Parts: sequence; structure tokens; C-alpha cells
Amino acid sequence: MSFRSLRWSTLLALAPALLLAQTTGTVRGRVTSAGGAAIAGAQVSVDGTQRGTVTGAGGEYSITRVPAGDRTVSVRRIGFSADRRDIVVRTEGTVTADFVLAQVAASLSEVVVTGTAAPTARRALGTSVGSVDSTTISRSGASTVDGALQGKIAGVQIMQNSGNPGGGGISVRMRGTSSFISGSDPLYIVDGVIVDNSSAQLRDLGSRSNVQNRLADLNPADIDRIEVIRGAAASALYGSRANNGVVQIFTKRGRAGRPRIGFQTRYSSSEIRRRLAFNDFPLNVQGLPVTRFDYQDEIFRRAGSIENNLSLDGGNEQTTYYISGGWTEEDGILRSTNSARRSARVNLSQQIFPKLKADFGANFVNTHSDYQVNGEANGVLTAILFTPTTYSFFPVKGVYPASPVASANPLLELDRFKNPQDVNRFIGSAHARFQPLSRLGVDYTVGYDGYTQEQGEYIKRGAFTSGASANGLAANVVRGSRIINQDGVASLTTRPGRELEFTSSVGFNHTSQQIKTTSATSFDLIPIGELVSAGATPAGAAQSLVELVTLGFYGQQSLAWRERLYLSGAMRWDASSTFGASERWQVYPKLSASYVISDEHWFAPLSRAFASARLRAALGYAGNQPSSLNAYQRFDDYVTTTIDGRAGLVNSTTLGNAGLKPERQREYEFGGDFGFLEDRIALEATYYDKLVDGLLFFRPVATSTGYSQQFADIGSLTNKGIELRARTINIDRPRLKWESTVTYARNRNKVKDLTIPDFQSASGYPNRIKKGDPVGVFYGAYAARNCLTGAVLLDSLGRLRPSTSLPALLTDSVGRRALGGGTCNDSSSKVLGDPNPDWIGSLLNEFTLGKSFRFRVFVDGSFGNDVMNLTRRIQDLGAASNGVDAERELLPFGDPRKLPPGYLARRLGIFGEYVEDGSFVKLREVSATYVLNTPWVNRVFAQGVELTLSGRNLYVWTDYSGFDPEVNFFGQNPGRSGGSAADRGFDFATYPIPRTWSMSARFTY
Amino acid sequence: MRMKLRAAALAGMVLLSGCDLERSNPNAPTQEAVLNSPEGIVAIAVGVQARYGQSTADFTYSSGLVTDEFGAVSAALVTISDAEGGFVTQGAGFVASVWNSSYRTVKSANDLINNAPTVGLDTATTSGILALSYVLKAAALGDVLQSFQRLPIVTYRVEEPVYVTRAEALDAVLALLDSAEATLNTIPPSAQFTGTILARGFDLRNTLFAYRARYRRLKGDDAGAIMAADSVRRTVFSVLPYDAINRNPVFTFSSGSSGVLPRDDFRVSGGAPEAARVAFHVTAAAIVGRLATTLLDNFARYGVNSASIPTYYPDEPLLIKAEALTNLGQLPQAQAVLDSVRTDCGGLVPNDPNACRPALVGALTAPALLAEIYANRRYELFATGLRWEDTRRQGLVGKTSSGKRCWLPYPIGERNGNSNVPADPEGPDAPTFPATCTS
Repeated sequence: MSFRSLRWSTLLALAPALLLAQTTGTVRGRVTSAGGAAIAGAQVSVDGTQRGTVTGAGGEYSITRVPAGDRTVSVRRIGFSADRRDIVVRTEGTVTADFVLAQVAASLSEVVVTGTAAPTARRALGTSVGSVDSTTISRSGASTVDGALQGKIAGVQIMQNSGNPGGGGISVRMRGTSSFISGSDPLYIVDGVIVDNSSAQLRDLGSRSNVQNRLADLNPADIDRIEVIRGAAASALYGSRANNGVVQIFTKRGRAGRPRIGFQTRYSSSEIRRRLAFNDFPLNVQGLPVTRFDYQDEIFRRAGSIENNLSLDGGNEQTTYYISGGWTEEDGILRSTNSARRSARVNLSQQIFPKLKADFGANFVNTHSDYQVNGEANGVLTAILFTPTTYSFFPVKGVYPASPVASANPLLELDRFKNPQDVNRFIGSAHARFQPLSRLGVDYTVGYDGYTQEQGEYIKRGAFTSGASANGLAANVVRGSRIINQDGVASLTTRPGRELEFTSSVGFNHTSQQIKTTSATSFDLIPIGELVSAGATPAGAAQSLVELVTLGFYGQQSLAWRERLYLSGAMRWDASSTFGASERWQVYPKLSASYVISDEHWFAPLSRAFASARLRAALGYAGNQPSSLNAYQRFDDYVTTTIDGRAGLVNSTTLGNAGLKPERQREYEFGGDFGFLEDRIALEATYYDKLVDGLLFFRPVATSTGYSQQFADIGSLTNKGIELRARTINIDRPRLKWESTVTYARNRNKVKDLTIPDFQSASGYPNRIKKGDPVGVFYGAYAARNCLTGAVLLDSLGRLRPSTSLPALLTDSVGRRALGGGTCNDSSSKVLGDPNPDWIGSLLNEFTLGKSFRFRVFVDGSFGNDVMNLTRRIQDLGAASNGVDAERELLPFGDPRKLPPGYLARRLGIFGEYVEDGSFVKLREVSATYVLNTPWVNRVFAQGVELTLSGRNLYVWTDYSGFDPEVNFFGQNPGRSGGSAADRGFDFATYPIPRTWSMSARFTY
Repeated sequence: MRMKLRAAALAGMVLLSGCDLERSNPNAPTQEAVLNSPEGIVAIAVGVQARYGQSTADFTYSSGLVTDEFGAVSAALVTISDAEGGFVTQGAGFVASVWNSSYRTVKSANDLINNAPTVGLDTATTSGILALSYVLKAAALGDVLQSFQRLPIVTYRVEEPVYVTRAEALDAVLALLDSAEATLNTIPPSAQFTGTILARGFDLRNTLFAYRARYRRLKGDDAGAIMAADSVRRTVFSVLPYDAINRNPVFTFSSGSSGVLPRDDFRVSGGAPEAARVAFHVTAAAIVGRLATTLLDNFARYGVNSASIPTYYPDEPLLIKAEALTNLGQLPQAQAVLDSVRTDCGGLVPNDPNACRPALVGALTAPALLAEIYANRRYELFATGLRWEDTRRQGLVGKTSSGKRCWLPYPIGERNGNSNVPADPEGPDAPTFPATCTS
């Protein structure tokens, strides 16, 4: 570090001397829309120089020290047409250049930096790149960045896995599931820093991952814009980390001008959106009157949240700054759950020399959450679902009745159990851009993402009547994670002729990740005491250390011909410490082409209909490496076993794979971007085809060798699909503006090849990785049917007949065929459903009435996806019998709705009976904003005061019978032995997603 | 400019030189480190004894479950209670347990046999380690051949091991025991071996002879079995020790919520005459099992987590000898040996069940002697897994007999990873069952 600071100080000392050596003038002006409204945040630059700025709140800009001479000023702003103007700058003189920009739905001039070695206009890219701006994020009302992206980008399926406060755990699938490991989640980059988005569950919360993914540490209010690339065709330059796509997040930076203070405050109120129906039958099985309880009244609550964000930005020609602080406190709708985030950020940009600019970013976050266990562990909802509604959990004189099932009293859990989590995180970045020539730029970035995550657990003494924690349990786990990455890239632009432009880039990337975990657990707590030291019996201490290193070099050559045909080729050489030495270095090439046909003279006759049109195609390869969970699979390890007080060793049952290599994805995509009616309708259409080879998971090894599995190549899968996105400006009048965005994405996933037998990917649950079927299909027993009519076959007592125990022998189909009159009952198990949607889509409508009122409605939906409703299955258990169907068993004989005794007990063994259509349409976001812009207000707040009333997850149209079809109790399962990233669509006592109403006010000074 | 670029490139290389892509695993010792170091080999030699304790307990579990020894507790999985009737699927957990666990013991023994001689240990220590490896490999393969109809015997660093018949496997087991004896006789084990590697209470040499007697008898080599049985010293016990931290695996599987316990018909069938031996093994409890028809007792012998596991019961060689003598027609001698077991009363407790019964009256015929020998084996050798082979030898396998299956199906994990796995043997659901259990 010391040599760096030395270098900076030397440069700073030299700077004034260099600055004086110029003869320069000033360019200033104002940027407005056709309606006369100021356009803030537009990028204004002087072509061929390093000079540029961003317009202020009033649309005004000023660029000083522009080298004298004939110059061209360019203006760009997302959502508006680009413009440029020739001017003459005189030494010490000032030139005024005002711009009026037209609003457009299509924006080919927008510059994209993700997936390309050098910043590139969208028109030059062979791939479709999704982008979202700060307005979309701030108006979503979501508490996390990934939550705010839900439904916004075609082809990106974003699922909230639970309703826990603090985000609830979010999974992102770009163009389908592409891997069984690494969570199948994309790579996240914030201001050039590769950030960790793991969901490490340090103590079991009843899900297969934490109920919060670490992207929740980012404050959405700090985000300026997000770029998303969805597959290998665009992500090849990220090498072995980009199989699942890349999300690059840019935080806000300061704008030159007087200091601007922004303050936003929001109050939200959440409630359970839909309650489960419980058995409320007044009589018990003997026909005697009983009292029944619905504990949803006791465990759920109306929960309030507050969110406050304060920001300060400003600066001058040399220095700009953005400083912000955020504070949110969110209560969960399940009592005693909450999540809070306090964050601070400083972003600083400094022009050191005319040719050297540096950007710094520092972000500190503290996230604290209190959760409760649910799902497959002995949790709150779980206990209620496993217990008959006749049972009273209410404390009597301070004593909580023990649970009648192998669980704790759920009210006691809520009142006394603790599952706190704390994260302290720092993300820092330094970026330098050196531009010795207008044609040559060198960028270097160093990023650091480090955090300590601490998770504790306290189980009260006596809460469980048996088992190891009967006398209490205290545990604490600390996990330290840090990623350091360095990126360097140099780009040179040359013009060998008038019509040709070449851009050549070379770069490298180095990432080093380290994760350290230490844990301690104790049992048999003293009566008052909740920490590990209160335990009389230490139950274990553990420590682990994981290090991962990735190194890559890349080169890219692009060609632009007459600013309408663009060709690009690139290659990345990539190595990771996870892979076997022989397979360590991999090559990932890509090719792309874009052709703006609307710029051709022969297109002119069509230009009345098409304002713009371009065709694009790309082919690329990318890889995927095992996450920290499987970092050392190339080694054959030995584990400890003891006898007679002596420590011995024995081989681990996982065979090392010395030839381990990355999963490799080949993707091609082609499509086009079209603008109609003066670009007021923009249509983006893409077809893609992905093939992932060398899928990594656990292959069975002959156990007679002393091993049982090996982390190895088990096959391949494909994802093919279509993405459409249309943006329209329906009405654009001074008093009324109406804009719409529609997305549609359809994906077909298939396990193409499997070199091992079909397998149950989540041990203990009925799902499967099966050749020829989509990943993670539900698979198991079904109710026998009449093959001709499709009617369910019942036995003599009127109960279902499970396919696993049909008469006439399991191995013999004769009896099965006689029963069903066909072959439909031949197998004892079959594919019961598919958790992957056929298609997903969204519709956003935004209205602006006059200058003061904005209204926005956003719906999104998922269609054709099935959900395995294991919550309902628990209710069928004899010991529970608390579902509405249990009421039907209690009805008097003769009632047409009566279910025969034993019906539910029989149904329990038939997983097919719990598969439900999980299609839904959600009223995801609704908001109404009023801008107070009176002179009196403007005297204090130049931009006025924005008042917003908004709602999130207000209504769901679905046939699904449970709380919410958008859940997955496996969470963001990262993929390890016993569970893969393909395990989705399981509802099992999962914390429901709430309905939320918010009021917010934004003040800008 | 060129200079500056060069300087930048140089700086970049300096920054990157700190990155080493060849990271080793800090969390667990790797095979390379373990198999090439004396400490690693010594640690495996300790570990293989822990392994064998586990794998032979797994054998005890599955054998007891498909014979009349054990029943599933009420909270057990349905696959466990199904096995009481002989219905066992490929995917049943206990099938994988006995197979995988035994072969993991074999793997540890093979690690030692293949690597111990070359890491620079003292030759007398190496001798002890090799003898231990031969004995425990033989014992683990012996457990497998009492549970499966075919089995692989060459498995070390083989991708898909090839299967052989039980007869071939039996020869391999006996050859391993011969190698063990030869090794012990050539260079006696060092004090390092007996003092720091061999578990306290584990008598390697006598265990070797007892196993030799057991497998020679199983092979039908009666004369050889008698010789081996005679070489077992009567005055020693051999056990694997356990304590509160390193818990007895039989205690563990019989006290867990999904475990098994002794069926009470073991106690009831012995009646008053067998009270002493029954009380050695179980305490009466009348627990209702998963199958409501099965009543269960608690273990007495394995009632605490620190109970040791005998590598063999001291009277087993005597019962082998009596059986072999009967087969050779030496009935009076056989009866005398059997009487020595029947009249055993006091002494050698707690590792020797004592019948405390009177001597037999009058000279018995060969079939009567054999019946008496098997009856004694049942009460003497309870919860050793040997009961299953006894039911096969007596033809007591059938839907309503003491043994509910001839062999276990091959575990699904093995089948998924090995194309050489033979077809599964028939279970009670096959029309031709009961089979004759021929190998």
C-alpha cells in the first residue's frame, strides 16, 4: 500500500504544473426535453477529449478547460435520443450549447460496460444486455436490490424464497437453471468489485440455505444503474465464473455543482396476505365437542418498518463526491423476527491529471437480523402444522405446555428462542483511468469485499422433552469472508480508413477469496444464560478455512464499419485453484456481430415504419467453478476417527477428482432491436440456445472401493428460449404521459445427458434429476387411475390406491393393467410435475399527470410451474389432522363431502396428490407519487417534495392453495451433497411473503 | 510511453506473482500426505480398528434384523421394520451400511498393506501394522461374505471391482489370516505397536486364531478348524474399547430413535434354563416395536455407551470345535467340549456369557449334538451377526423361519457405480422362496 500512496502523492504534486500548460475555454448550456422539462443526469462530453460532465437538477451543465479549437459536444441520456453539436472553443472564451432531447423507447446509443473489454454502445453489441436505472429500483419499494429487479428484465427469473424480513432470500435464474452448484446464481459486481452473494446458513433455520442472501447488504438507494448479461454469449470475458450470467451494479457518483442534499423517509406496514385454512370442526373423532385453536392469530402480526436515506453530493471540475447514509428497520410478520441495515457510503472521483482520473468507493454496512426456525427443522410454523388444532399451546401460569409432537411449543419459541445474525461488511474500490491518448485508455481496478457474519442460536432449557437440546442449547458461528480482486484492461482505438474503426483490448483479472469459519456449541445450559459459556456440556468446536484463487487474461478485437456493422471476437484464458492441475487453464472464446440495417440507404423506404432496426448475433463460451463449498474436491482427503482415546484417520467417502474441470457453457443468441413510430415503440427480441457440458455434481462410486461418491462431470443440460421486451410511449403530451413495458420470456430446460443413473437431488424429498426431463422435476408415487377415463381408482373403503403398493405385485404389470384397463399405472413412480415455469412475463404501466402526479402499476407472473405443497401434506398426517380435508374425515357418514376414515393417511404416501399448479400473477408494485412543487416549497427544496404511497405484493391471482406459490423452502441452495441448486418449488412450512403498504417522502435540497 | 507501458506490465506481473493456483486443502490431510508419512500410516492403523468396530457393528445390525435377533423400534423407518419379514430393498440404509462400512474397513487395511512398508517405520512396528491389517481385512470380508452371495475381493484403486463366489472369498479370507500369522511369527510387533497403536484389550493373535477357526469351519475344513480353535488361548479376552466420547456403535444403533433392539422372543424362547445367558445379553422390557406384533427388550451387554465389543466370545472356538468334532464323527469328544460350554459358570465375566447349565445326560447322536450346538450358539453368540450363517447352515431360512432371507440385495450405491454387480438374490416376495441358500 505504501508505494501506492507514494505514487499518488507524487502525481498530485505534479498536477498544477501540467494543468497550466493548456489553452482552454468553457462550454455550458442546458438540456431539456421536448416539453421543456429539465433533464438531469444527462452525460455531456466533448468528443476526442477527456472533458465531460453530467447535467444538474436544472438540466444545466458547464465544462471548463476544453482544449481550444473545433469541437463536437455530445449528449446522452437513457430514455432520450442522443444528440451532438459542432462548436468552436476559443481560449478563455465561453460557448453556449443548449440541447432539446426527444424521449424515445429505444436507446441504441446507451453505453454498456458489462461483458465487453471497453465501454461499448448498445448498437455495437451482438448480445442483449438488460439494464435498469435508479428510478426503477427506488420506485419498487423492495428492501433489497435483487428484490427490486423482480420481473424487470426479460429472461431473468427472480424468486423470493421466503417472506423473512431483510429480503427473504432471493434466487436469480438467468435463462433457466444452468448448474446444480454455486446456487446457479449469477456473478455480482459492484463498481468493479466482485462481491459475495452467498447464503451461508451457519445454524440451521430449517431451510437448506440462509433466509437472507448477502446481496441484501447493499442499500438500493445507493444504486445508479444495473446491467445484466444472461449467458455465455455475453459473459465469456468473465471466464469460469460467468456460466450463470453477470449482474453489474453501479452506485451513484457525485455531480459537479453546489452540494445537494437528499433525504428520503419511508414507513411501511406489512401483514400476512393469505392465511391457511385449519381444521375448525367443532367435534373430535369420537363426535365429542372440542375447542380448536388457529395459531395464525398468535404468531402473525401487522409489522411496521422504517427506512431513512440521507445523501449529499456535489463537487467541482476536479473532484466530485457522493456521501450517503441509510438506516432501515424492518419487522417481520412472524412475531419476533426483524432485520435492520445501517450503511454508509463515500464515492469520490478525482481528476488528477487531464489524462488520469481516479474513483474511490467505500461502503460500510451493518446488518442485524433476528429470525426464527421454520421449514424442515423444529420450527414455529412446523410445530403448528404438525399439531392438532385441539391442542393448547398457551402458557398456564408462565409454563408453556410441551409440544405433543417431537417439537417445541411454537409460542415458547417465539417468546424465548433466539436466532440472531450480524454482518459487518466493508466494500471498497479504487479505480484509475489513464488516457495518454484519445485513442488509448488504461483502466485498473482494485476491489475489496470483506465481511464477518455471526450467527447464534439459543434454545431454552426444557423446551424439548427429549433429544440432545432438551436441557438447552447455545451456539455461535463466526464466518469471515473476503474477496480481493484486481482488474486491468487497456484499449486502443485505431482508424485505418474513413469507414473502419478497430478497438483492441487486453486485460487481466485476479480474484482471491478466503473464507474462515469457527463455531462453538454447548448443551445443558444453566437456567439463566443464553451464550455458549452457559452450557455445562461443550458439544463441539470447529474451524474451517477455504481459499480460492482465479486468474484470467483476455483479449478482444472489435471492428466497426461505417458505424453500422460491428464485429467482435474475444478470448479469455482462465485458471482456478479449484481445478486439477491438468485441467486448470481453460479457454473461453466469443464472437459477436451487430448490424444496424436502418442506417443503410436501402432501408430508407422502410423508415416510415421503422425508426431504427438492427440485427445481432453472438456465440460465446463461459465456465462455472465450484463455490467455496466444493473448493477442495480435487483432493482425496482423510478424516478423523477415534478409538481408545487415540485419534486415527480413515479415507473420506468422497473420492478426490484430480482431473476436476469447470462446467462449460456454449451459448448462441440472435435477435434484433426495432424502433417503430419515431422510436416511441421499441421491441427487443432474442432467441438463445445454451448447452452446458460437464455439469458438476456427485457421481456414485462403487462403494466396494471404500468410497461412495466423487464430485465429477455427470452430464449436460440445455436451456433454449425466447425473450421479448417491448417499451412503448403510448401518450406523450405535456399534461399526460403514459408509458408501458411488457416482457415475455419462455425457457425450455432439459437434462440432455446423464452419465449416472437418475437421482434424487434433494435427499429425502421427491424430486429428481432425470435424463430427458427438466431439472428438479417432482418424481414419485401417484394415485392409480382408470387409464381410459382418467378417474381416480378407489379401494373398497373409498381411499386412493398408491402406485407404490398396487395389487398384483410390484414387479408384475399384469395386475396393474387389469386394474387400470391400460398401461397408465405400470410404473410405481413417475414425473409428477415441473417446478420450472413455461414462461414468465411482466407488465409495467406508468402514468404522469401534469407536473405533479405519477402513478405506476407493475404486475408480473409465472406460468406453468408446479409447486410441491408439503405444507398441506403435513396437515394430513394423522398426528396433525389439522387441514380442512381433516374436517371432511370428521363429517358424519352420509354427508356427500365425507371422506372415508384413513383417506388422508393413505394420501400421505402419494406425493402426486400434493403437486399443485403454481402459476400466478402478482400485483407486485403499485405506487402513486405527488410532487409538491409550490414556490413556497421550492424556496427550501429546489426539486420539490415527493410524496409516495405504494404497495407491494398486494394481490396474487393463483389457484395455489397454500400461503404463496412463490416460495422455496430449499432457499438459495448452493448445491452440495444432498441437495442441488435445481431443487425448487417446494413449500414446506415456509415463512409467507407479506403484503406491504408504504408511505414515503423525498426531500431534495 | 513505451517505457510507461513496460513499467505497468512489470508492476502487474509483480502484483500477480503473489497468486498461487496450487492451493492445498488446509481442512483435512490429503491422501498424498497421509500415505507417505509414518504419522499418517500410524493414524490409519489406529483408525482401521475404529473402522472395524463400526463395520462389524453394522454387520451385527443387519444380520440381527433379518434373523430372529432384532426388531425395529416404534419410530424406526418402514424399511427397517420391513426387513424383519425379509423384505429388503436395494436402497435400504442398513444394506448400504454393512457393505459400505465393511469395504471402508477393507480400504483402510489396503492403505496400510500397500503403503506401510515404504514410509520408514521401524520393521517391528510395520510388522504389527501389517498383521493388524491382514486380520481386519479378513474380518471385514468375512462379514461381507456372511451377508452377500457374491462379493469383490480386489478393490484397492479399482474403478469397478469384479465379483467372486463366497468360496473364493473364503479362501482369500483364510489366506489373509495366514499372512497375518506369518508376519507376526517372522518379526514380533514392536512396543510402539502394542503400546500406542493396538487398542487396549485387543488381542490380535488370539483374534486371528479365533477367526481362522470360524472361517475354516465355514469352509468345511473341520480338522483345520479344530487346530485353529485349539490355538486360541482360553484365558484371554479380546475387545475393542469404547467410552463416553467414542461411543459403542451397538449402543448407538440400539438407543437411537430409528434403531433396533433385541426381540423378546430371544429371551422367551430360552426359558428358565437359559436365564443366565439371556440375562447377560438383554434385560426384559416388553417394548412395542414398529410392527405392533414385535415386542422388544433392552440390551444388557450394550446398555451403556462405554461397553466394549468382543472381537470374539471366548466360547465360540469351543462351539466350533464341538461342531467340527461332530462332523468328523468324534461324538464323545464333541459332547465333552460342548459340556464345557454348558457348564461354564462364573469367571471370565463380563465378556463371557455363562450358561451355568448341567452337563448333557447320556451320549447324544450326531443330529442331536448339532442341534444342541446350534442352540448353544444362539444363546452364547447373540448379537454377533453369526446367527444368520447358522440359520443358513440349518436350513432355517423361510418366510416363517428364523432367517428371513438368504442374502441381502446389493446396495444401490454399489450398483450405480459398478457395472459388475450381479442380479439381486431372491427375497421372500419371490415365488420360489424359500431358496436353499446355496452359494
